[in-house]
Amino acid sequence: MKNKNDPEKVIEDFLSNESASLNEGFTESLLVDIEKLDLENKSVSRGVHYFIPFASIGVAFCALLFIIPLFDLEVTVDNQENVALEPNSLPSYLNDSEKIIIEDLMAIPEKLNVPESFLSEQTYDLLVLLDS
Amino acid sequence: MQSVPNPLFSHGTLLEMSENQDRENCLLSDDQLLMKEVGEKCPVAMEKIITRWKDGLFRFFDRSLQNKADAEDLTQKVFIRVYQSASRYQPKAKFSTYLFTIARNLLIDEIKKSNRQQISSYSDELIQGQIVQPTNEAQEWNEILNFAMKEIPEYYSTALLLRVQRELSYMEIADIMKVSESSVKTWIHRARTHLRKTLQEYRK
Repeated sequence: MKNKNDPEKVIEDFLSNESASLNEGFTESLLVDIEKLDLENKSVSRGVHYFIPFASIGVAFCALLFIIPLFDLEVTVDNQENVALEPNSLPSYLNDSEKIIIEDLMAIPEKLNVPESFLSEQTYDLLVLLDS
Repeated sequence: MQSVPNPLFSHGTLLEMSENQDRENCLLSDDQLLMKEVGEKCPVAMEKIITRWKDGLFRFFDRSLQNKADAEDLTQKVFIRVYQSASRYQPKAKFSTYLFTIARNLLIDEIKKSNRQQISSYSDELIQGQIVQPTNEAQEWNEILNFAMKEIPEYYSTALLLRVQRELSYMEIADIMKVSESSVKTWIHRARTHLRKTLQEYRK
């Protein structure tokens, strides 16, 4: 049996720390704290549940704000095409034949942006005519 | 009309599932079963876990920090963390491994916060009157060993305390500390040597 003053015994006793113990009310107070935490978490999750409808309305509103301008843009492009094709929008001093040519050209507006579409002699003549 | 049996919920399948569950539960320790119940928010199971482990945790923290108030605080934090993570708990290792892994993480945080490792020696503080002169020999040894514990790194003292207090194997300690078994053996040996040396120096 080890002596009470044996350094090994002293170290073992010190490390095992058998005499240390918690307050009697530790478990009860901890359980109360845990219960409080639970309640807090529940109220937070409830808050989140209340927030969900508002959040979804907000998201829908933002989506609408994002989609409407795109829709408007398409409408504007369509309108521009329609306006371009309208014969009344052409200046009145042009001859009927010139108006027909211009209307034909305006019917394919994108092609006008490509330099290749100006290769035709007739097109150059027409542009000179319009310029003058 | 003849009803078609649902293969998912047929009587045989349910029976098999419940048998599997029983088998699984048989393999789990008491603490692991309690943790399952804690995961389902059972306060009685939580109380049982606290009652079972509170003193062990407190002793561990008390020796690591040498401060009863902080030790109590950390013990409380461990149980709160256990409760909060109970629903995600997977009984892969022994419950003690799980519990003391949490305890060690909290201990490291606490040490970082308070920077406890920066200490002066026992004799310095005794001279400066920062500690009360011990009245008997046992008390003096305790004080000396407390200071010796402060002088060693956290991983030395944790490994040593888990070995002595919890009687864990080197492998279990290595699991908790996420290091190799040989490191654990070395740390425990060095920690013991340091305590022995310090005690001998002051006893001369």
